[in-house]
Amino acid sequence: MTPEENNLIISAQKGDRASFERLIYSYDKNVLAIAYSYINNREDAKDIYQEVFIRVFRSIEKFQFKSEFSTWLYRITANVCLTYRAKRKKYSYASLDENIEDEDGSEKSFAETIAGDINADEEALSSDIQTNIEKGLEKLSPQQKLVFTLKHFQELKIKEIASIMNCTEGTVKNYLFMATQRMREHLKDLVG
Amino acid sequence: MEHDKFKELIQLALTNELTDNELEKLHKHLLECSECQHEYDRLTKFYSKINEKEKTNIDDEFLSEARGQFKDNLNYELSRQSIFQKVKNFSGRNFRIYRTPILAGAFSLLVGLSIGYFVFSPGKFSNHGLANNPAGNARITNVRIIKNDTSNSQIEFSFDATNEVVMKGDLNNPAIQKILAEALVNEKNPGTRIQTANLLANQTSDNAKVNPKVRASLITAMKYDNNPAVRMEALKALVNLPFGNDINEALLYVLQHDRNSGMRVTAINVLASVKSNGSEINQETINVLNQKAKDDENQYVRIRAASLLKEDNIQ
Repeated sequence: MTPEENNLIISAQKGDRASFERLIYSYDKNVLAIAYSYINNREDAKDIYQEVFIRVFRSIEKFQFKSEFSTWLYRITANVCLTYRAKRKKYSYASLDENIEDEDGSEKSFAETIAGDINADEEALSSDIQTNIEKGLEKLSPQQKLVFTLKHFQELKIKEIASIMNCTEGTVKNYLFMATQRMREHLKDLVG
Repeated sequence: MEHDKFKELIQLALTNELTDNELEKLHKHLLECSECQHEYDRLTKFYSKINEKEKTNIDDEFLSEARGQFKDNLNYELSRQSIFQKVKNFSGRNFRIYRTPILAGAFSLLVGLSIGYFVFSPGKFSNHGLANNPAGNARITNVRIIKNDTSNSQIEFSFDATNEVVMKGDLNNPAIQKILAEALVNEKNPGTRIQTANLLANQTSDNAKVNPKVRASLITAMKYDNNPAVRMEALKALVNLPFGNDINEALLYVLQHDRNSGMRVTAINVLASVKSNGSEINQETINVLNQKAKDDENQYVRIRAASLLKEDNIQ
């Protein structure tokens, strides 16, 4: 944590709104990216963003500098993702950690060359793969889906995911192996 | 180690989670075990498909919308906290005078109405989306204001608009080869790089014409890619191309600098195969082989280097 970030947190804890906003704008793009890759819907991703930062705002006073601010923030993000089940069925799953909010717890020429080659079949196939991956992800448990998403679509290391989800690297590997197995089963017709 | 353990290691290897030692163990095993090699190929294919999923793209408009909504929500949250604070202070100071049931009921009603008003009143969560994007669904970046004339509300600005393009065509098409060559070197996602190298390896095996840029990209990937699976796929692709000084130098680089013994073993096997086809071994190669015969960490590489030198009585 940089001294500047430290000062921003202290000011935010005292109720300074400008400091709070400056603090969260360093990380909010990542939060939105995690939410969007997990939920795959812009409106739902924005909902998750709102929920995450309202929780951060309400509980920043409790932040005791025992961990990185980013770790604490991403834990909240993971918790909100895990408990978020689209607009009609919000928050129906138990979280990994009940105390998660607590610190402890193309070049132009290419385009011109290829513009005439766009093929409807290829688009259909690509969209088929996309849809199948999304359907496969929906069949995973929230934890498996989050781990798989963070690993493959956010390209985080297992160590980082373990820190975000407040669990061991072994647990993350288990979720990842199970998720990969289920996704391979689901995509076997496409992958062969 | 049993196959199941190696199968886990394959997953971790393809997602860049193994240490050099673990990678070396795995590659040794892969050279000997066709079942695990098959699993490696199938998993590579699976990850290639997964990487076809559209990447998360947080454009400026998306982020601005989220931030705009949050500003509204934060205003609401602050006003909500403020009203609760006032009610709390008020009720604390005047608790004694509200002893009669009628007044207490009226107080509860007032609190309920206040909360209801602030919770359910309309307009608290209005969106603040940006104006319609004039470039359709293109991703807008790098916006630069050129002229801003506030006197007549005129503005002139430039921006980069990037569109996703879907293409289908022959692998021999130079434009396609150029894109694949770019992807092999510049694509961030290792799965995509592996898939690209794999495609190029299949194409080169058909002895089809290969763009010089592809050849250069394969060499770069084989030498410098941080993912061993990409380096290996690039090496497999290069083996099918006409041998030349550039490939020879790249193989020597791998022999000297690649920390992955699987790569060094494959590189020295390729050099041996080139030599057995009648190609001359130049002095630089002899020097590297001499060095490898003495001090390579891998026993196979040491023995193979020594035997190559011995075949021609060159030391």
